[in-house]
Amino acid sequence: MKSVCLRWAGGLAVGTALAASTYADQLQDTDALAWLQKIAGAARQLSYEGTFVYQHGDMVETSKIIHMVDGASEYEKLSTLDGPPREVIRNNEEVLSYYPEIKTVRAEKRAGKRTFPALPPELLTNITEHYDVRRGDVERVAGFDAQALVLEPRDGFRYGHKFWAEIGSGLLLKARMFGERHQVIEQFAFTQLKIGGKISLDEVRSSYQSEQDKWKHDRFASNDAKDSDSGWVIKNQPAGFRKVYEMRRSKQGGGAQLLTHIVLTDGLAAVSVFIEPSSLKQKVNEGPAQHGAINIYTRIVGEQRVTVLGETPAATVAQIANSLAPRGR
Amino acid sequence: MERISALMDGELDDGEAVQEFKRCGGDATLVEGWATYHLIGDVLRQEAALGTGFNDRLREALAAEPTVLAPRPRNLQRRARLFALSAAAGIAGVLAVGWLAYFNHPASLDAGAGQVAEADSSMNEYLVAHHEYADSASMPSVTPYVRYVNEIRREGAMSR
Amino acid sequence: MGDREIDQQLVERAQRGDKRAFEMLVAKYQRKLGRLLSRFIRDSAEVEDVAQEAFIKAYRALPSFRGDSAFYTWLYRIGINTAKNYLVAMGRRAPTTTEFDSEEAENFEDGDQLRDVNTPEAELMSKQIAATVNETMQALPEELRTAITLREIEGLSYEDIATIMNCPIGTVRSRIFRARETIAERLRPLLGTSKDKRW
Repeated sequence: MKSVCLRWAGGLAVGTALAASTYADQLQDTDALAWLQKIAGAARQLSYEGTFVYQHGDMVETSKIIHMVDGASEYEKLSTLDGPPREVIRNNEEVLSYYPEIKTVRAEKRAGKRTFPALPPELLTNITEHYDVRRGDVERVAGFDAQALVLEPRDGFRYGHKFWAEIGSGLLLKARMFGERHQVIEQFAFTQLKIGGKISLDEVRSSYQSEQDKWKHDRFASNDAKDSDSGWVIKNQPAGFRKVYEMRRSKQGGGAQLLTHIVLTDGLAAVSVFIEPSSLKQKVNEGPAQHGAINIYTRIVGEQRVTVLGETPAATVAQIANSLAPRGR
Repeated sequence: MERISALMDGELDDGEAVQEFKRCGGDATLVEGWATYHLIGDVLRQEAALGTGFNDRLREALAAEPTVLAPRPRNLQRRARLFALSAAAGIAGVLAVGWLAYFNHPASLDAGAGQVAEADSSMNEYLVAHHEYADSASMPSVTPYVRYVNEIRREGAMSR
Repeated sequence: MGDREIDQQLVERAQRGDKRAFEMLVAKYQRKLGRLLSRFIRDSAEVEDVAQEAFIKAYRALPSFRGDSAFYTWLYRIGINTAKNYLVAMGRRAPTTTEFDSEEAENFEDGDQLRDVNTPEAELMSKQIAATVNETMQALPEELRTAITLREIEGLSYEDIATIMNCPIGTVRSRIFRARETIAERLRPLLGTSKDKRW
């Protein structure tokens, strides 16, 4: 009983010390920042194959990934090992998602520029302004030595993170997202991994390639132009989040109806805003909701249904949703 | 016992699983196997153990509890009609005891407090679109497409 | 039948008056709940008391459980609330958000918490159980050990294990069962249960 009180008192002292550290910014661990750069590049520049486990809430899901880099081209094959079979084949910006039980393949081509190989300086600044970044210990993950990195949020608008990067290459071996009480919200970890080595093009092709001609093809057009203006503004944007995409995209199943999709990020956490006319047929549940690690907030503004969601605390999506308004009103 | 082992691994089909649960109701050794196999799994995953007396004490406490009896909400109407028709006072009596046990312990209500609604299936499309772009908008906090591939598991059959 | 449906089946059976179905849920989740509670409560005897109270509360609240969330998510919330009420009743402050430093958070996840604070007898017992499981594992024929490891630690389906081990699914099922039963046989004397006694 004594130990409980002592321990909590200790926790309180640490909390106060952190909050009071006005010069924490100057004390940023520069090595830790270099590690972030390294991680950002590694995932896209290395060839690797492995099995990983993704946990969120009480869901545990296992998938296999093969990632191959050939000159300037990137190929990736992701397949689920449990639950319904799914396969995602990516070649640079082109993404094919296979749903074998309904014999459907979904194709999408991105116009957006990816943020690789290096983390752009503005993104890095954004991260250090809103997270306290420091190095942890060297630990073992999936049989590799890994450098741990801890990213503690500086306010309540975002979750904390812990990364484990392979010490030689910087490849992310394990990542954890923490909530307000330091509870684990989601975790991704390789259980088996091979870095480098020769991967042939055949290994990153779909296993359904021979049958896919007979499958249904869904093609998605998204008009993703950074300057495409939806006519909506976020009047009270949570600190640190900035707009990275604003686009009009077609709805699933086709139709002329377009959906506005805005993506905001603080460098680590992303929030999506969706705006579409609310149809009378569809019942809308306004207010907060949750889906795994994602918080959601839905609101009706005039005749539009606004849905904000992201891997952030509920307060962040609620604030964005409540401050969204058509421009000039 | 091999069926219990397969059952806990989620490897029995629905019909077999229902049968196996029925057998558990009448065969304590099956329940013991279920408990021990789960203990073994937890030890292998290095989940902390509770004291060995825990189960005995809990079973005693549970035995002292009035038996709960509650129909599933979606079956509520059908069941209510059934009770009315059969006028089975005995069954209705047990039902009432279950609900009384529940209402006499308002503390148990706080379980639902602060609960937020689970996202409805109409949200699927948004979630998929979010993951597609979120992964490339931010620093890759997880390998790109990890969240995406886990989202589209739930998509497909149910949304079409 | 998948994991969530299994829990739903057990919940429905318990809701229809089958207490044994609820005991099966207790058997499945007690250690997971114990680990959660040990984040709030250090003393292992107190953790057990609160875990017991949480399970009983859950049992009483079963009529209100409608399967909107997974059973464990629901049990988890009851567990947290019970722990908070317990700490308040004991005159201790329930922890608030910022009071956990990350080092502490790290410790919870490794699941070592309970072992650190167990009473000597309980600690001895859980050590013996762990030692028996691990020794028996080591002594298992290779194919049984691989099968149960892929299932329990990697969480793979029988189908995936069959692919990896290059054998029929039926063989996987029987290997995992034989591995479990071999270990269970060694554990029963420790648990004070034989096949004719419950648990």
